[in-house]
Amino acid sequence: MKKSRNLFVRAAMNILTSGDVTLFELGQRSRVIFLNAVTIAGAVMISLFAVIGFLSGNVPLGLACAVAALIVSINFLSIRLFRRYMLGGIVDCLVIFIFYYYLVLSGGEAGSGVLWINTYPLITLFLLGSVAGSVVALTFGVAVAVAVFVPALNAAAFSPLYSARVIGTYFFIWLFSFIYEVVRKLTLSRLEDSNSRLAKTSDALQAEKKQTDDILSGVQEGIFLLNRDYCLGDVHSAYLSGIFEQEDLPGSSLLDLLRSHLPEQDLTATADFLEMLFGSTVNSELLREINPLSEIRCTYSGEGGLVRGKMLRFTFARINAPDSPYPVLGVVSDVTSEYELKQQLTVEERKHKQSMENLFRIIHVDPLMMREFISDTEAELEHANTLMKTEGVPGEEILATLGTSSHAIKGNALLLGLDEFASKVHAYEDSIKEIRTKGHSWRDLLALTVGLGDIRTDLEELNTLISRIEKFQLNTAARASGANSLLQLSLDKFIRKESERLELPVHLQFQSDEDALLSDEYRKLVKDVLVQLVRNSFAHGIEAAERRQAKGKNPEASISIRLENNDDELLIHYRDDGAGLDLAGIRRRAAQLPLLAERAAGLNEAELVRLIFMPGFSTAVNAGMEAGRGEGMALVRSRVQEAGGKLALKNNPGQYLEWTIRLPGTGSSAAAIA
Amino acid sequence: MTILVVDDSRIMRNIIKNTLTGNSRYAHAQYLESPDGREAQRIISSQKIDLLLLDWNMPMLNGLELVKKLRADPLYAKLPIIMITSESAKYSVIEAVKAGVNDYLIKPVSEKLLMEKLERLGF
Amino acid sequence: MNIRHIEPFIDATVGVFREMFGLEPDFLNPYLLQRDDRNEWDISGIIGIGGDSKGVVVVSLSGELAQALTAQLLGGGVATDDDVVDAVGELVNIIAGNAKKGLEEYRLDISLPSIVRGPDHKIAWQQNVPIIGIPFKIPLGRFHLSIGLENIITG
Repeated sequence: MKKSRNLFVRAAMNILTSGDVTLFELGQRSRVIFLNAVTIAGAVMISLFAVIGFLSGNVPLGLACAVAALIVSINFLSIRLFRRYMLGGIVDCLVIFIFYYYLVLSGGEAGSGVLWINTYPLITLFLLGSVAGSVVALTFGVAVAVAVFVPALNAAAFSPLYSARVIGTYFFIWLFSFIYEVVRKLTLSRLEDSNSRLAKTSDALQAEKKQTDDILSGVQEGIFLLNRDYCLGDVHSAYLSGIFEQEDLPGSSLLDLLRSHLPEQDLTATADFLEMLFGSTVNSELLREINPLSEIRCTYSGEGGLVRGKMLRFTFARINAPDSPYPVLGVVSDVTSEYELKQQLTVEERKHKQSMENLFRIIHVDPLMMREFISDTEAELEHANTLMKTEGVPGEEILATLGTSSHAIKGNALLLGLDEFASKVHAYEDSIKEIRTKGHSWRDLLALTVGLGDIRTDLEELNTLISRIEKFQLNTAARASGANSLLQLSLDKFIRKESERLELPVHLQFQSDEDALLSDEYRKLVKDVLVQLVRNSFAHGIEAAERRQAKGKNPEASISIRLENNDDELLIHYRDDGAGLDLAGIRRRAAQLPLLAERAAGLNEAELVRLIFMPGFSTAVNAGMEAGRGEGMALVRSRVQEAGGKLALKNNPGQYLEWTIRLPGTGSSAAAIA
Repeated sequence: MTILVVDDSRIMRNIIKNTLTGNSRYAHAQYLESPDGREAQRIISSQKIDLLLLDWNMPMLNGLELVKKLRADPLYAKLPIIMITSESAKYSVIEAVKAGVNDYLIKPVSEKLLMEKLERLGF
Repeated sequence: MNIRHIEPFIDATVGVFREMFGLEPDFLNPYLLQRDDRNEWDISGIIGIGGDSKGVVVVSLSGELAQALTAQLLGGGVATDDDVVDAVGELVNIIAGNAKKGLEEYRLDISLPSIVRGPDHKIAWQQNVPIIGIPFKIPLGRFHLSIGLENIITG
């Protein structure tokens, strides 16, 4: 129902506006509507007159009206087709002029034809405008006056007094219509003015809003307003959502937004601070200084439950408008990358799963060996720390000592299966190596000192654990076996482990003379040296089983160690039946070193052998935990030399590599062991 | 003008006093000293003080407690107080401002900062 | 113990010497202090740390250096023993207080300073915590900063 009515209204409007959809201007639109209405009404009325004319037998009237109706109808169509509204108006006015004049002249029923003329000023003024309309209307008035005052000219033969009233009425109507039209036009133009002014203002506002929007959507800072409940206002920069990692910020409390991302302490400080910010007791400068959010670390959970830290910088300003619903402006930026640049290096805390691991290891390890490990490690640490404590020792030397010490500690830890501890020391060794290549700073030394402290703390923990275990364990056998068998035990264990890991079958033959017992002094030294030699055999000497078979060797390689007492001198023989030193490999490696590159080709065998003692020299491509750092042989040599001993090497390529180490005086070994 | 300097270190009190008297603006002020909060409280209640320069960590009664006590008394609610302490963490600063200090200065005392803060308080 | 927890103390030490004495201390090599190490200093200022971590911060000096620094703070003349005690206490107090700025993620409380004096004086270090020793050098002599802090475990 409503729909059909709408359709009807739309159709009527379409007809009245000539289907012209561009007619927006109010004055023009009403004129066109009026024009069409007049034209349609005119066509209908004149047709009616034509019918009346023909019916009453007045054929000339009928014909004249029919022609006029036709003209008006054509006019209606041409208005619709060509939209020449002014022209249409003129045509209408002319037709109506003639038609009305005819009515005046013909007199009509009791002279009523003259009544129609009073609509003419309305028509002309509306259709042709106030000036042209008046000219036409007044011309028509004069013509009508002639017609009514000259009795011969009109059929009704009005009295002069009546004629004067007809004309007077006509002119009054014209006058009021004229005034109305003028006022209407003035009003319209004023309305248009104010409309266009409004349109302009609205454009300007739109443009300003767009600028504000652009700023708020583009700015790389979170900008927001806070009300007295610390809640965010409706307008904020788009960036803010990214910072808080949350949409729908308006109305949320700043404290809530920060709550789960700040330590409790900072949150409390923030709440206190906001209270002061909205109060008036604390001045703005002091507020700025004490802002707890001026650089604050917030944590957010990221993918896979990882916690990400973000450094945010908040600034706040009170808005100096009393009674503002949002009295505080806040700006926040993400300064994480800036902060991370400042923050050079953060040391990750090691998990404390270590003590558990140690506990399980120790249960399966002889406490005596554990004790030995601890005292050895302590001695290593002490050795390095003494050097550090000595004023004036160059950093390079400290680093070198820390390097060899940690290498030795790591070896011993692996020996006992303390993998966690070993990997920690391994990482420590790595960092020393890295610092040595890039050149060290004081801060690096500090970091290494702190690292050393950590290792010692772990060691103390280990010690406590062992003491506890010893109370339960009563393994007297191992205690009685003495240092030498302990050495054999640990070497055997180490070789078995390496053998399994590297899939190189190796058999240890260990022989110790009765009088070659190790003193406490040498116990650790000998073990360190032998461990390094074993490592070296595995890394460089011993071939794979197939290869050995192909060369006619026993597929199981053998390492033989013999400790001998020779005139108060401790002799250690070490021999593996591997491939011997890879002299070609050493030469190739030497050729890659800037210092040796030129001379590499010309080095003789003895010189090449000497290279393996150079700290940092290794032919292994990848440094693993077992070998390849180039510290092992350097450690062997420095240890032996420190003890005043000598080192000899016999290389039989393809057959064996033999080491002979002489250490002065075996010490009162028997007494020491007992 | 009477300024009360409260710090358990006599040397620190001297340094603060010397910093102030070195500036002509404060050279002729009357200076009073106290090594702890409790004595400071006695001095404040016995005579008129225009400005209180107060350390935090002190024996007997620490600076923060003193500030709280003073602010609770309408007589001293407006007494200008600058806390001068080594406590540098921001939560400490907030705590002090919340308790009612007018300004806060972290030791070692910088002359420039001290002057700035005094001027800010209108001295 | 994390290097990040040590650095604020070093920064504070350098800052305090710069601000109070106009001196730039040189760092000597850091090392691990043994609890039973012989103490070669004449006076130590000690601040206890409580709260999220437990530990001590110690500044140790030779008698001459303590005397000289105190005199400088006094603006010249000869410092009495009381002055020296006062100054060393304030020194270690400012270092510990300023270091808190770099450890704001923890709530740390610092004690009032205490002073130990005499040749080979003993300091009661806590057990099972490595103590980092950092010798510093200034034109007037040498001093020593020792820091032993329990691992700060975030809750």
